[in-house]
Amino acid sequence: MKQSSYINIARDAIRNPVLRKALFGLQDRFGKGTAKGYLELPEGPELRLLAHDIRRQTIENLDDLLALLAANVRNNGGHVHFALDAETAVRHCLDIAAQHDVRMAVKGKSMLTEEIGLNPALESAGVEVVETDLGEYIIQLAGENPSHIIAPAIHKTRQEISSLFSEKLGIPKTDDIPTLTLAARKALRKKFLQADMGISGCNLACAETGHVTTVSNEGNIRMTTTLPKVYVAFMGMERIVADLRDHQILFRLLSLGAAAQKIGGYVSYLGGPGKDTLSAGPREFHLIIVDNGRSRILADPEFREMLYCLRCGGCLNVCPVYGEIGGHAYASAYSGPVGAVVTPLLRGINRFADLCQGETLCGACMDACPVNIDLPRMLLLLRNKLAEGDHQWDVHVKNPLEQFIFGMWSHLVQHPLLYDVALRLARMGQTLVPKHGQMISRLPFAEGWTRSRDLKKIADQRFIHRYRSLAGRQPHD
Amino acid sequence: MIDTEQTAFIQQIRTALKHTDADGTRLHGLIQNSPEEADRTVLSRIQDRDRKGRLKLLERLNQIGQSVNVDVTPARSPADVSDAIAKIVADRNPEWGDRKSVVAWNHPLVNSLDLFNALEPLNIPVHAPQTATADSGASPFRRRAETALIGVTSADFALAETATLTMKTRTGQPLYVSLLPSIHIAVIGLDQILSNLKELYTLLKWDPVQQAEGLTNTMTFITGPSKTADIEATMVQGAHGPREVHIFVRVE
Repeated sequence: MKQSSYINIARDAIRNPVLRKALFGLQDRFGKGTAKGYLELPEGPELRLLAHDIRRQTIENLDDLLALLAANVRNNGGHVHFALDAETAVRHCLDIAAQHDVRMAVKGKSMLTEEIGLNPALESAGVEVVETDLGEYIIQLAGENPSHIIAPAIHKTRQEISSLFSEKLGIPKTDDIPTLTLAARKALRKKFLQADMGISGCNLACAETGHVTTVSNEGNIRMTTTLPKVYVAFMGMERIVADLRDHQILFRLLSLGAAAQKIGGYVSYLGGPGKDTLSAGPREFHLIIVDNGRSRILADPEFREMLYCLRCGGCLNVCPVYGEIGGHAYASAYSGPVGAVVTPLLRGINRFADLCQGETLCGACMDACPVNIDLPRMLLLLRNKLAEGDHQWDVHVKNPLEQFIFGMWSHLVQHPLLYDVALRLARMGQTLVPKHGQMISRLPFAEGWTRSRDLKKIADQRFIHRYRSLAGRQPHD
Repeated sequence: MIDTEQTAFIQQIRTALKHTDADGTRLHGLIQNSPEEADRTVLSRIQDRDRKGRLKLLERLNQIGQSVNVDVTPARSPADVSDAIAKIVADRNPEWGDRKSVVAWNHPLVNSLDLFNALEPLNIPVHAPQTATADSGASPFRRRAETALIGVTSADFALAETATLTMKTRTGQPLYVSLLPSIHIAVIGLDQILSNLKELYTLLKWDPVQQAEGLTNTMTFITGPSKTADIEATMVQGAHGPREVHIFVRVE
């Protein structure tokens, strides 16, 4: 990512009144609804802390749990593939598609498949790929990227969608949202019935039973996983629970975090191929478990907590920065506070340096997180690595000049005589810089400091000197 | 079959976690192997629930159902249900086919409705799965489900606190019957109502009958009609699946 693209996209978003209204509405509804939902939990909001503990135990035993999951999926008649990187994950899917002569695949929304670049790979192999979540379908038709984890097309207005549908689906233009939804329902129904392959992500897999689970409200994931002859599930390796007891707790919290619901509209446990035509289900079931940089996060105890994340998007719905700039500035499938931590860890801390520096560290994301992940701590840690460099994460110091200046500053404040001399020099120097009245309006060589505000001048007298002279006087009473 | 990819993958995780043992003993602490006192309490609460307690749950199911657009109706007899279904059929227009039709599970509660005869006066065909074929391509019955107006199923349980239907996959009871038609109607007995997810999960985990069956290849929870809020965060019912969900509870 270019240094400037985050700032440029963010600036454009802030100037877009339609987007800001949509983001406000989204945060107002889901952010508040989720907070209320936590308070109304039968176990109380402390359930989030228990869930954090469950996630910690799960992640610390990921090796054994994944082996158990794989064994149980195979017992249920499914196939399991492990992929250390994106290329291997994509290759597995292409192989399955080739084996079954797949011409068209329908997809449920999956951030992981965005991460590994599955769609372009399938398309260049001659497979038509159709996104079936309404929001994803809209942005696929428009050739854009998702801007929210659960509401990917939140940046588009009904008028834009109307023009898009009128052009691509040949329907008359309309501002009526149910009519637009119906047009997509009809167009996608044909695709569901014709597709040879269904592809989805995985919200949580259950190691004990050998099932992956998906949650949706539209029913598109049920169609995707039930109708085509081959079903392929993609799963980030951390998206697992040990048993049904943990699953019950986590997926209730996931539903609250994602859409302020007690339970998502459709929850499916998918554990293998259908037995015969009268019970239906796919003829073949494949699970592709993906690492793609996650084991590196796992190996660092300070960032391991990021793997507790369930990708509900709850943190987006409260983040004051996301609320202003939207999802595109984050430059990956993962936006908002989760993206600001996970994207640098997966794709390069220096390359995505703007993300953690753009967040405010206000802590709203942690309160909104269904498993209470300390995102502010990790944002700060990323900034620390950028300031000081880190060999283990291949981070070079982002701004060596800044590091040098802060080194000087540190030296200065520890040596009072030197500090006093520097202060006198600066006091003399400031008579030369441009001013608005008593304020400095432009600081030469450090103009970033005065780009959007004026700076106070250095006082004529140091505080300590004023204090001493004032303390010497007696009060008039 | 544990392939080399799996071995390398798991090994990388072991290294990251600094695990040196590889005997899987840690799993004992993670996966609960016997019911705790709290689980036994839930199991006996379900078992000891009397008719009065169940009617109370029905009331709650009805109340919560209204908030998530699920229509809950107590029915005194199979004829009550089939009459109500006939009314729904008569009121609605076909969506996916040229004419109205109904697909139904092969299930004792559904069969008892005798829909075939109940809908004959309206000239509405009713289809049920007939014989299994080895080829699991789209069966003739699935073709019928694709164009049907109404799909009639039963369910394993209904959860009162969320108005959720739960169902596993069994022969003669394909899950797409609750998915492809425009309207989904489920018929259950009063004793199939549970209070909440916790009761359901406790049964799934500890009840011997549930344990023996497992979760089957697909288990689904359905809460309300298909819906979306993907355009300007405005809620619309009927995104891809049914636009209406009705639950009939046999209370006789």
